[in-house]
Amino acid sequence: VEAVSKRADDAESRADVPLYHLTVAEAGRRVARRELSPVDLLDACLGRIAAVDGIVHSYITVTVERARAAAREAEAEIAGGRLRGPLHGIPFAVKDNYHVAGVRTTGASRLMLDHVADTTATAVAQLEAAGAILLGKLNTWELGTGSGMVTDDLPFPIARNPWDTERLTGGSSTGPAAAVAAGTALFALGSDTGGSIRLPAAACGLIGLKPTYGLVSRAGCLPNCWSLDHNGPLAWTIEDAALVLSAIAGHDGSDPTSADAPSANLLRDLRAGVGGLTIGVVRDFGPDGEALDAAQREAFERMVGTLEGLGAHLVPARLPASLTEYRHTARVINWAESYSAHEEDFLERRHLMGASLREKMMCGFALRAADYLAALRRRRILSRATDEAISPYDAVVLPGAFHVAPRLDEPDTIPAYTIDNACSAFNLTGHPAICVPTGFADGLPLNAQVVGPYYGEAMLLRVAQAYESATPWREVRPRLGGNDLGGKQ
Amino acid sequence: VSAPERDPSDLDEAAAFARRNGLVEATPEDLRLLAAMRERVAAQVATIRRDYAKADEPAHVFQVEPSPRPPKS
Repeated sequence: VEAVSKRADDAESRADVPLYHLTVAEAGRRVARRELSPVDLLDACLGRIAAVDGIVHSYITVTVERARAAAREAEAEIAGGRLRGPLHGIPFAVKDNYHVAGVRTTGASRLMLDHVADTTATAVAQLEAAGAILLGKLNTWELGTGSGMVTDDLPFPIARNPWDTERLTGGSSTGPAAAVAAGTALFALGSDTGGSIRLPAAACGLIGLKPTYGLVSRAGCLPNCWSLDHNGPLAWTIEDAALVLSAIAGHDGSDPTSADAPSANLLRDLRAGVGGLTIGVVRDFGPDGEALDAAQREAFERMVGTLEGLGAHLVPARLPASLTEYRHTARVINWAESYSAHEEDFLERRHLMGASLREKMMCGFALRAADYLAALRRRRILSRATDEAISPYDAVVLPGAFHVAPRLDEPDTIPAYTIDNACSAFNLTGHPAICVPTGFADGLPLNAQVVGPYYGEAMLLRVAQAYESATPWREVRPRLGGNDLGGKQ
Repeated sequence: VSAPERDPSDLDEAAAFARRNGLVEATPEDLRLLAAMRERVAAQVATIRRDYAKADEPAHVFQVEPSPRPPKS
């Protein structure tokens, strides 16, 4: 930690940061001031993809010509005085389970290699309406799902963690995490059914935001588990995540579960600090907590101390059930809904599925309707109890992933990364949760979560921003091999 | 990744389950996997039912199972 802090102190000035490592907010400011051309920014990202994506494998499809056309249009609009907002001209990419009309959606699956979408996901359309430039489609576990087991049997190479390319990115949003960490996109959209935004963000040292269930439309995305799926951003900073969420939050009649909720201003109080706020601290996970790495625990305690030092009132809090209880309930719902979405493919073309997806589908096949409904009943009770536990606080902090990213050549350790965490509880209950970096252990990112009441994203971002501003973790980028120019380590 | 070997009786049960539920042309590997996953599912479901029983909800009171939270109006 001290070494990283020192490196942060020694960090170069912002003027020396390569364009592909600019934050969304900084790039947006430069574009707005006409100091930075969207075409040049796009070229920097395309150059970065050419330089490092053969190592990190963040992309499945790069939409070069589509992106160039959009960047030229953005440049002309801005030159003409028609700036759309802070995302105008900013390159981004999406997990390959978001449809984009005219572009193939593979879901990294042999089942869909030739599928060209005829619709565009609402979230992508919202970002493009805000002027952001789609760079392409990003790697994922098959169909954005799986059993947690990683097997090299999909049609695309496994995405690699930019902090150590011998390690897992977390999943299932593997490409989004690899892309933002490596600088092959300034931000990305992922999807989170049981931690699939937050676990990759944790492994790759990023902000991962799973919003309140229903806040961001899932229309135009491949279905996984309709009652657990959440769409959201992976970004380098809290401000970037807030900017992206501001663009994609809101009611969408195309998604029957979309919440008809008034939009909150996520930026107004972002830097208001935590003085006087009451923040719950969840430390006790019973036997489940024994899996928490010592480095993660120590970093979490330092986070608590930092927030206290900033003037927040930190008080002990508890979840009403064990993490295992949440996980088992979520898993049964996940098996049933995912099987329902992919039954036809399973029955007729399961030989095209990778082992991880096939295993999950077999669980869904073996499940009975009454078992699924028992899990839904359990969820109702857990959701209500969790809301009662969280609601007294402005926010609650707790660990996210319990381990650092595991090595890909140690496959037996990989399922533990997916299982030992406090993420899936909030897919089950629908509460918003943000994964934030809390430092490093042996050069690998550590993390924690900030969670809170339904629709409490503005407050969660405020708390996370206060912590981010008080710590040096955003000043250090992963160093990649080859002709990488972006690392500062 | 192969499913572990199973007792023949497990595989017979898995084959019967597969036939009843439309899994046609199941391979021996399919049946080994199905037998293993049926065990896993049964174990998970048992914990949910045990935990749910703690709530002691009256069976004769109508309950609606909602999405994780209702949309704001």
